[in-house]
Amino acid sequence: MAPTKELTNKEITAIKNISKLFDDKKYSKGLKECNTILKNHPDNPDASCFKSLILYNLEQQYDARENALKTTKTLPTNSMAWHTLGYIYKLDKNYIDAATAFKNASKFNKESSQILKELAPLQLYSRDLEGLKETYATLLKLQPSYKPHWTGLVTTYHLMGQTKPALSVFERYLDTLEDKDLSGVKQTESILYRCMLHYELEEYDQALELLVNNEKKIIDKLWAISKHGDILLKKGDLAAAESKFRDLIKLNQDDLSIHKKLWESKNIKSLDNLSDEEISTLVSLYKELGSLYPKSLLIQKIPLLFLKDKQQFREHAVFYTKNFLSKGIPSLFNNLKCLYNNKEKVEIFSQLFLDQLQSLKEKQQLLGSDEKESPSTILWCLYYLAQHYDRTKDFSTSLSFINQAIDHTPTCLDLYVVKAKLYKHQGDLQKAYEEYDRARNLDLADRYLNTKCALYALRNNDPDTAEAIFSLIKDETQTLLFNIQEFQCIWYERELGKAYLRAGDNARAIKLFNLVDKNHLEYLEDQMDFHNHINKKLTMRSYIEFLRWEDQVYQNKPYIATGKAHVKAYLNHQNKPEVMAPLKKVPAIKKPATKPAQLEPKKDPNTGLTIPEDDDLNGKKFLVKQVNLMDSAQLILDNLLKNTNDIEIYSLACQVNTYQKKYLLVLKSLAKIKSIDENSPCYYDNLVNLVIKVSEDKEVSAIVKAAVEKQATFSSDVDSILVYNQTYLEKLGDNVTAQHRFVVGKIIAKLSPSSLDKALELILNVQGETDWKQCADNLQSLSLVSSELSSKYREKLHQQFPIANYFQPKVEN
Amino acid sequence: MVSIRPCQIGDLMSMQNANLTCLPENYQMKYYLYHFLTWPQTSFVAEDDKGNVVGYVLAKIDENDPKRGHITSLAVLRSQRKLGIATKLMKQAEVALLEVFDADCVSLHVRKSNRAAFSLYHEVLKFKIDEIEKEYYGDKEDAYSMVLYLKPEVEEEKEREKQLEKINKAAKESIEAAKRSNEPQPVSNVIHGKKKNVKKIE
Repeated sequence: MAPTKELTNKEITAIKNISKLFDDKKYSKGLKECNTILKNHPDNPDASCFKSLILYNLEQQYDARENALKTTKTLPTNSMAWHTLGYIYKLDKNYIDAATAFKNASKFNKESSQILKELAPLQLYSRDLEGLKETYATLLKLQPSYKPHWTGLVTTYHLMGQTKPALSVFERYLDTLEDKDLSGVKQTESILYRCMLHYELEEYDQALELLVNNEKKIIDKLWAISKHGDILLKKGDLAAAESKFRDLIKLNQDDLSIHKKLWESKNIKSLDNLSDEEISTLVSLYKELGSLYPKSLLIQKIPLLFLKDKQQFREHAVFYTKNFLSKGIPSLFNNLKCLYNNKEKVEIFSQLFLDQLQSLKEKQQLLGSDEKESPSTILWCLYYLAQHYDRTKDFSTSLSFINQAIDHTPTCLDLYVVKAKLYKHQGDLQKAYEEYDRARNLDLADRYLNTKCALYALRNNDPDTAEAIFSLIKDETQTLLFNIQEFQCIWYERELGKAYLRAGDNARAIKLFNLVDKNHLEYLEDQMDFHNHINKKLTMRSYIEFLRWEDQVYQNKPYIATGKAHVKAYLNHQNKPEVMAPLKKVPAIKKPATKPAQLEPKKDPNTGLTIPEDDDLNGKKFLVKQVNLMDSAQLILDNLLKNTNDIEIYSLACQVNTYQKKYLLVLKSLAKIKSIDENSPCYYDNLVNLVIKVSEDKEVSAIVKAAVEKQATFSSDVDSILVYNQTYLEKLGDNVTAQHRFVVGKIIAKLSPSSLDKALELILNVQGETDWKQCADNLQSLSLVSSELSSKYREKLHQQFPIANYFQPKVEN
Repeated sequence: MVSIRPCQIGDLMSMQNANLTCLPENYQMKYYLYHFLTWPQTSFVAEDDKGNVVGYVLAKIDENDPKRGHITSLAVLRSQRKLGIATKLMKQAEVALLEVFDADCVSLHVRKSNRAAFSLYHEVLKFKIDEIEKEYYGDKEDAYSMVLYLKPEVEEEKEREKQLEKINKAAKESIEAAKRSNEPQPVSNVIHGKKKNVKKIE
């Protein structure tokens, strides 16, 4: 390093001036000043760091990063140099490297609380909790009166599962607060957070003491009473617990979770397998609650969950459904759907609503009532029956009821919604869309109908129509894609992606699924922003719940559904199966005439930098750039595999890992599938696939080979597999489903083209198959084995699902 | 079967989805988080048998007036209408705003064209129109700013204040009018409405 020349007074002033220019966003001028100083003093840290920051703001991110990196190399012990580099990495959203840079910055400037304050959120983000604990401990020493450092240390201990230190630091923190800092809602929060900590430590007596001693001070009654009841349940003081839950029901009769706890306080843990005695306890409980709160729908409903006696059940069902029918409340079926896994109850509903229909037709009265019903009551009865028969898969009866209802009142849009669902369940997505669109047209101002209709259009492989519907309701100054990203409209991203996936446009599909991933990254980034905020109201309980939620941010239905399709897109890109359904070429409705687009350049709200236009809308370049596509699939799988019992996910993991030759991981997934459902056809399918792949792989180690054979219990030559196929089906006995036969048939076709007849016999036996979506997947996977087979399978499926779009005979055009 | 209960962190994604499905005013997750981390007691959800959120009320305390509750957003899926879910959600939020934050009143905005929502607030929930905010929404539609007093004594006081203000204004205006009775000037009558910025978090 060249000896540092002293700065002249003029130059010192110039540097101060740069700082001001930077604050005033006069970047070009600032850059000039930096370069002038750097000419004479190439190692001047101030000028060099400002240069990096200015370059970044001039949208020369690459040069900025290079310059900042270079500065840390020429001045490796300079805190500012590291701080600047960290700052730039943070803007890049490269949080891991940013944290490392901030740590170095702190190493060379131990007294700086500023650096540590910036480091802390990054450590929280990456869950470097040990590091975070150290950071807050240091910060607390540097600035003991700064409140967020205290709560930071508490939450860190709490997240680490070190609940005792969390509690003790929190109590010390409370001691430092003045009374005015601990009034009103803050006081309540401080008590309830301590209660939460004691509860998690299973120190129930202390938790209870807090609640009892502070009863007057606690203003969040709902939480406090509920926790009070929970603690009493834990302590086995059922009578006292019951009275707490009754207090809560007084405040809100319709909270099911409170009812469940009330049952628990009656020593009833679940409504499955109730004894007669338990049923009679519940009967008298709900009789009492019913008379106390006659308006609560939930209290009226619950007896339907526990009543076993057919007569009683039917009588109560008559009572419960009366208002829905008379008042035309459309959600009756949704309301009772949860009872449809009980065959006896389904039978009762079937008879009950047919009887109601009869009674309405004959006397215009509902059963057990002498009031004259309005003509619309019969409509809602037909409406129910249509849904009932749809659910029990008697589609023609369902259709006949819904058509009767439509004849009765053609302007009632709910009827077309049900009809759309009926078509959807049979695989006729075109008609489903058309019926939904009919409903939508009866009330164009209803956003819900527009949204759902767009969904039906996407499921019908018609993105143009979906976009046309959406452009009626979106912010017209932006493009659709920008809008859905901005507001994290995950379902649209997913469904559009899935339409591309079905159309075989895997690149574009992956691009859309990546948006869902991006949304989830945004959710993760959100946790860096609330640390100081929670001190305003001391909402520690919510904050901890929030951070725990972040730990499982990928474990939600929308992400899982997207992730599975995402992995499939990578697999399809590799395997190139037959296209399932091309996109519709002509949109069903026209887009409204829009003003010529004057789209403003998009700015990042946080940095103010321009977001570049996407020049790769169809994702082609993006896909080329990816080195190993299956590695990307693996990343998605890592998110999906956390804490799941979803066989489909493990099956995808098998496929990806077989491809990647990570055979032991395949075995792990197979074991998991078997533990979830030992008869799962997925298990056998993936197992045989693995056996074949391992036998073909010349480089596989003897240990792996042995492990695979041990799992398979049959050897990898064709004859053994074929023999085992037979054993497999025989072993299943009565448990054989169409899906088992399909899997075995596919294996035979793959291994032994001469036994095609046998394969055909198995595959075409679709007896008992009701899931057209599964069959569509099957058809696609069969296309990779034999086109002859798949066309015969298609014909068969056409008979089985006569109106399903995907199995219609192919029209040559 | 629909269950009404306090909002939990795990509901927020589902609330965001319900909001996107039903309403034109949408928010990023951060805004939901902001509510949950600031006023965790005041928001409620309606949940169906499968645990999907079919309705929600997102409520807060006015940033500039700690005695004023505000309904940021309320939605119930169309498929669950006529069950009184919106009313139940609102009642829970009102109680929480009053008991936890000692709010005097709760306010909300509703599109002038949204008759269904207006009648829910006005007829069922007894909200009153406080003022009309011109071009309040992104698409320039006017909003009714509505208010419900949670404490009768505060309502009476506010009524008195309003009355007094009216009289003062009338007095002032007539004096002014008398002063410039010879050369009348155009009277500006612009009501300044606060524009909504959904993405910003204060």
